[in-house]
Amino acid sequence: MSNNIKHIGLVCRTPPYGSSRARELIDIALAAGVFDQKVCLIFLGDGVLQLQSEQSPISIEQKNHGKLIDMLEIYGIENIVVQESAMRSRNLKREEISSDFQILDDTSISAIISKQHVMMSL
Amino acid sequence: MPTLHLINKSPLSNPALGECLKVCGSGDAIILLEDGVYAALNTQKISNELTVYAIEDDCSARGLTPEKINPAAQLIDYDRFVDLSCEFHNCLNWS
Repeated sequence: MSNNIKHIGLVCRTPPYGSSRARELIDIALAAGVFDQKVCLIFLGDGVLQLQSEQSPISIEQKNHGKLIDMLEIYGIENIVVQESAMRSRNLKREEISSDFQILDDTSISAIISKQHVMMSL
Repeated sequence: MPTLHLINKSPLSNPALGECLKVCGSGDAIILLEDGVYAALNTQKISNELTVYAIEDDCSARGLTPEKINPAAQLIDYDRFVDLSCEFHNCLNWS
């Protein structure tokens, strides 16, 4: 089965809660992880807002997106990339983000995209 | 390996094109379609290091006649769109 393994790049560009896009892309990542695919999750632009610590969506009666992000590692998704410039413009601190995530500049992210077999963005 | 980026939102109201350009690699190309064709207006800047295509049908539907379009953007039809989709290693849709 090893020849069926693909490098799948998933680009997260939407903030959580406002739409179902953020949640659906993470669901795709988890599903791909279950099938042993090599998933690379890339948080770009407003997508980095999904990583905001201390989310408490009980007030808007939604499930905690931050908890979903915490589950990625359990599903074997270890390749998680965050756009540094997007973090900076949204005042997101390095300390708020799991130390397992790679914080990279635009050029490095471009190089990662070029290495994927399949790309998808939501 | 080069990627073909698809943009279908106006750059004036949606960050898709801006986010795409930040991570565009050398050899990559962009196809502007649907409302994305507004990025081909000659009021918008297009880097000469990039290959940019715009779907002609979407341009003419929106009244973007060739003289209103930045000469750096190449007008293409759907057949060429299909050919390009096959030529590139993969496609990334920024919808």
